Parts: sequence; C-alpha cells; structure tokens
Amino acid sequence: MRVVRELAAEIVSLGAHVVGLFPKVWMQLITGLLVYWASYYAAILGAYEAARWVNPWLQIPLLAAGLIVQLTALVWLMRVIEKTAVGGKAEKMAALLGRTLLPFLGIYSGFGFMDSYLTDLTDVGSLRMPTGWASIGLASLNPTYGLEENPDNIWRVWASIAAVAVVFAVWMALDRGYVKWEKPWLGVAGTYFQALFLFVVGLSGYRLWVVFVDWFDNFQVVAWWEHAVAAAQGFLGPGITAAIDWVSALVWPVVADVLVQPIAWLAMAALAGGAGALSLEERLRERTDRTGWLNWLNIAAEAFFGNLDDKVFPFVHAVRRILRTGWAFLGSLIVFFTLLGWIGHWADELSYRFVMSLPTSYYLAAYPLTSVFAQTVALGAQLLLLGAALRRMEDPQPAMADGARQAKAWLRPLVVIPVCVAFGVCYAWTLPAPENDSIAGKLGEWTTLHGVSVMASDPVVGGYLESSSGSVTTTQRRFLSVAVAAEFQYADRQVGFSLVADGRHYECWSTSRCALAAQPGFLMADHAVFEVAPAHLQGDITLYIEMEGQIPIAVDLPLTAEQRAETGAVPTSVYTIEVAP
Amino acid sequence: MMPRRPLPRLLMVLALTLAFAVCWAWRSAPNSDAGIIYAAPGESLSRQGITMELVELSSNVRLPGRFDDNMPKDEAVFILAKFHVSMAEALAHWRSEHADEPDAEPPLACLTRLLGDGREWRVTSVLLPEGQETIRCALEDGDYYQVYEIPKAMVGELRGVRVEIEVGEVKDAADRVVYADELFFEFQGAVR
Repeated sequence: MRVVRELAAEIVSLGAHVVGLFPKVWMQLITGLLVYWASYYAAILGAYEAARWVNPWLQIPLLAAGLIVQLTALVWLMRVIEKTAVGGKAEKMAALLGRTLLPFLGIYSGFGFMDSYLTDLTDVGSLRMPTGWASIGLASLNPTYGLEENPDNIWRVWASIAAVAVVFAVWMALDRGYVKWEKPWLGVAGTYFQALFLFVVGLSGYRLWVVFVDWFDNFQVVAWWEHAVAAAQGFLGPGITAAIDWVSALVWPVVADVLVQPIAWLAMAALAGGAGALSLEERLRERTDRTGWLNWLNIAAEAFFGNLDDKVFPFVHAVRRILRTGWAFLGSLIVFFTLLGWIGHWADELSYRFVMSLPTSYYLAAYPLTSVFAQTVALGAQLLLLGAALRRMEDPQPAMADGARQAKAWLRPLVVIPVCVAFGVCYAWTLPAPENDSIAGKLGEWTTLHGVSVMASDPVVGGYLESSSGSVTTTQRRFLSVAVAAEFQYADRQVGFSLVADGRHYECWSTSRCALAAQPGFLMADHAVFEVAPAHLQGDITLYIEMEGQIPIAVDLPLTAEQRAETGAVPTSVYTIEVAP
Repeated sequence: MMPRRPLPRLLMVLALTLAFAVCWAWRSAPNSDAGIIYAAPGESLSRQGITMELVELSSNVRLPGRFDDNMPKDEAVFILAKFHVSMAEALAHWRSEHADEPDAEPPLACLTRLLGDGREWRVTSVLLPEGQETIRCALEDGDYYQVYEIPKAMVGELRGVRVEIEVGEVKDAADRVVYADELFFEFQGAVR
C-alpha cells in the first residue's frame, strides 16, 4: 500500500509541476507545437503536389524536410521547457540540433512516426487523385514496378541502388565532417540525409530486398530452416508456442508503447536539456569503461552509423539516469505519459471519424484538423510532463510528504512493474484499432460516407434463388439476400459487399453482381446475395458495404430464429435505377 | 505571466501564420482537376495541336433516337453538349512520327464530364440520332455531341463541361516530350 501511495504522490507532484510550468512557457509551447503540426501537413501536401506535377521522387526530400522541421521544433520546445523547469544555461540551438537530432530521429522512426507520413500521404493521394495516384504515388518509387512487362525498366533498379548508395555516402561524409570540424550545420545536414536515407531505403531500396528474399526463398536452405522452426515448435509444445505468440502480439506492443516510450521521450528531453543530462566526467568514465567486445561493437557500429560516441551514448546514459531516479517516479511517469497519449489517440480517432463522415471535398480540406488535438494539446501536455519529470530527477527527495513512512526498497519494483504492465494492457485494449474499424450503419436507415449514401434492408434467408425470369438455383446450404440501395455524389464511384457470419467472411455468391454504381442524383438498388453454411447463420451476421480504399459501413442483420431456418425462395436481382428522392 | 521580450510573441504570430497558411493551402489545393485551362462557351481552347470549342450546352433535349431507351427517366432530363473539335495538327504530327506504322492508332482518349456543384456526370449510353457522333479522339475535324442524363432538380446547378484528353507520351525530333499525360479543357457556363 505504501508503494501505491508513493506512486500516487509522484503522480500528483508531476501534475502540479505540469500545471505550474504551463503559464511560464505557454507562448513558446503554442509556437513550437504549431510549427510541429503545420510542418507535418505542409510536407504531406507538398509531397503530393510535387509528385502530381513535377516528379514522384520529390516526395522523399519533402517528407524528410518535414520530418527534420518537426524534430527541430521538438528539440527547441524540450530545451525551452527543460531550461524553465530545471534552470541553468542552455546550449546554443544550432549546436544542440547537431548533437541531438540523430537520436531523436532514431526514436521517432522506431516508434512508427515516419510510417504515419506514408500512411497519410497515401490516403490523401488516393482521395485527391482517385484514378492516377497509383502510377505516381509512393508505389511508383518501387524500382521493380513494370519490370516484368518491360525488361528495359532495369535502369530503375540501378537508379534505386545508386540513390541509396549516394544518400548513404553523403550522410556519412557529413557526419564525419561534423565530428572533425564540429560545425552544427554539418550535424543538421547529416541528420537530414539520414532521414533521406531512411525514406529512400523504406520506399525504394526495401523493394529490392523483398525481391532478394523472394529469390532466396527458392533455395533448399530455406526449407531446412522452416522445418527446423516447425520441429522446434513441436518440441516446445503448443503451450510454449502460444506463449511466444502472446508475447509478440500483446506483451511486446505494451512494452514498446507503454513502458519504453515514456522513458525514451524523457531521455530525449534530457538530451535536449544539454548539460543536465550528462556531465563531462560521466562521459569520460563511459569512454574508459568501454573495453573489449563493447569497444569492437562501437567500432563496427561507427563504420555504419557514424559517431555514436557523441550522439547515441549520451542518450543511453540519459536512460540510465532516469532508471536510477526511483521506481515510484518511473511508474508515475509511465502512467501519466501513457494516459495523455491515450487521450490524444482517442481525440485523434474521434475527430478523424467526424471529418471522414463529411463529403469528400470538406474531408480533404479538413484533413489536417484530424490530428490537431493529438499533435498540439496532448503532445504539449506530454512535453510539460517531461519538463516536470526532469525537474523531479534533479530533486533527490521523494514526492511523499515529510514524515510519511517509506516503502521497503525491494517492494517497489514488485508493485510498480505489475501496475505499469496492467495499465499498459488496459491501454492496449482500449486503443482504437483503425485497421479493423468500420462505420456502424443501421438496417433500413441511410448512412453517408465520402459522398456515398447507402441503405440495407429486408434480409431474407432461403434454400433457392428465383430470378425474375423464373429460373431457379438451389443450394445445399442457404442463400442470404439483402436489398441494398446506394446514391452517389460523384461519378465513377461504386460500393461492393461482403458478409461476416459467425466470424466467417463471405464474398458475394455472384461476383458479377456484387457492386452498385450510379451517376449523381440517381439511386441504384439491387440484392446482395451470399451462399452461407447454415451453422454460420446461427451467429452474428454483419453486412459490410465498402467503397474501395475506405473503411466499410457495417450493418448488423438481426435475423429471427425462423428466418435463419427458412428454406423457401430468395429474391435475386431487382436491379433498379431511378432519380433519388 | 506575459513574456517581456517581444521575440516569443513574434515567433508565436509567425507560427500561427504558418499554421493558417497550411490550412489555407489544404483548403484551396486543387484536386485531380488541377491544370485545367478554362473558356466560356463559344470560345475555343487550344493546346498542343488540339483545339476545342463548346458550341452549345442545352437542357430538355429530345433525342429522336432509334430505341425507347432514348427517353430520360422520370424526373430526369437529357443535357446535350455540342463541341467543335480540331485535332488535325496533333494527329498530323503523330502520324508523321509513326509513318512506319500505318495501322497504329494515336494514343489519345477523350472523356467528358458535365459539372455540377461538387458533382460530375459522365456521358449516358443513349444513342445519338443519325448523323451525330459522340466525341472520340483521333477523328476528323468537325462537330461532335455528348449527352448526359441528370435529375431535373439539378439542372440549376450545372456550371459547364470538362474535357479530359489522355495522350500517350509523344516526343519530337529533339526527343522532347510534345504531349503531357493529360489535358483538361473546361468550358464554364450555365446550361441554356
């Protein structure tokens, strides 16, 4: 109980510091966060326009530039907050950037922030340019694109390899130059080229790696390896294999997102704080301690990644300092930081759903607003929390009131770790899951998404289909038919259907009649027909109505027991098209 | 509470301006219809050897067609667009480039869209009367017709017609690209 009280006291103390910090830095906070948010969307829009009108390869430098501006805004904010919270003399901004951007970029890419650039750019491109984006968007950077059809396109492969090599060489040269001359601009430029390198490899060079892996898969040694893995799984038994799956599917995301991320962010903030994070003596000790295999590892790593000694080891040291501050402090940081992130996630998700329900033209215009809360309010609160945590790290006294009895030292990790893990599991379970998400529609009511309105009604189950011409098609299973109507705001759109019955996914019985399309102002109606195993009709049944590239509209079909057992006729095509009322 | 130095305030104003500019850019960034060249009905547009004029855009058109399908649906009307098209220069250039391939077809495709208030309609499948032809690229110079079917209630919102001409990449003797991938001609005017 004492440990829990210590944890609560730390949270209250951090919260009080956050509230106390805000009035001192609110102007800089708003400035930095606006730049952070605006540069993200400027980069995405710029990349789209550049690909559309100039050259698809321009997407890479523009995205990298957006990323570096975002990181710069973060470093500046952390420096301002740290200086306000802890005091002391702040390092010059240019020098700070040269020294800190690389670990920031590593953390940033490690937690998937770079992926969001690519996801949003693809989303925006496919909506703004529905018919042509595939040929000029990120997919066009694939060097193997069209290679099978036209072997002359082999130059794209060489160009991709050359781009990866040149960008890597420039990055290394700039990094070496920074070490030698200690010019901050060389450090910033080096980090920009590292971001370029990550994007070039991720968007182009990585495809060559996939081709290599596909080619390598043909070798006998791969089959041997797969057999060895299967044998090992058999040896370990299903329980151990399931446990490994559980760890990789649930525990690891929790560890990465909930436990590691706050510590990594605080280490970044400590780095941006400069001298407070690492003293020269400590660094020297760090150097002299490093002998044997660690030294060799460092030499090997430096050959590929540049001067880790100046950039990465200070970060590692900052992490060590955080871990030494105390278990209660660590737990409170993790809980508080994650809670703010959770609020940001949900605000992001709800605003995304709202904006997405608007007609496409409004949706595209309002797209940057979908993450404005998460990237400004929630992130701002998290940055203030990091400032408060840095101040707490400077203060050796625990947050408990004077005179309160302290918990036993060995008890703290035994309580704090389970609390954090439990909190993390709750966090992971309650996060929105966009990839499985859908908009809920109601039977017999219109639902509108991106300028398409759809309605499903009158589900019927039976044993045979009877067409308007009188021809009959029977089944050993069951036919399920749902009347669906759609109205479109734009030409060249269509919706398709699929069914999930008792957890099983079904495509339409007739693939040639599995979509609706009509010109604006007209309404088209038809029956969506599925052939379903009778056992699956006993569970939950959901009809998914989907426009390509968008999340589907899910309509639950509440069938009665009599309907589920019905074996009579099922209406098939009643294709109609008329002016929408 | 307010900072004494003006720099933070100035920076905040600049950041607000940047954020506003980004929002404005997103709001006003054109979608896939960017790159359009515009004219009013009766004016001709010309680019890369292709000249086009919207001669007429009229509603309540009755088409003396050959099938019953040539009647609009209840509460709908046909809209007729008549174009004067000249592609002789572009086609001549293309044919000169492909003189050794007499059977080759020019890599051109024409699509038209009737434009409403945020809506677009494509051509209907009704048959045109004898003697009237729908626009197809790579035809001789002349008058061509397009028919659209739209709800009567939406006639008032019509604002013009857009012609999209997709052209394959054609290079001249100096290996310069003569044609872009797509040309957009937009004729803006109310329907008669």
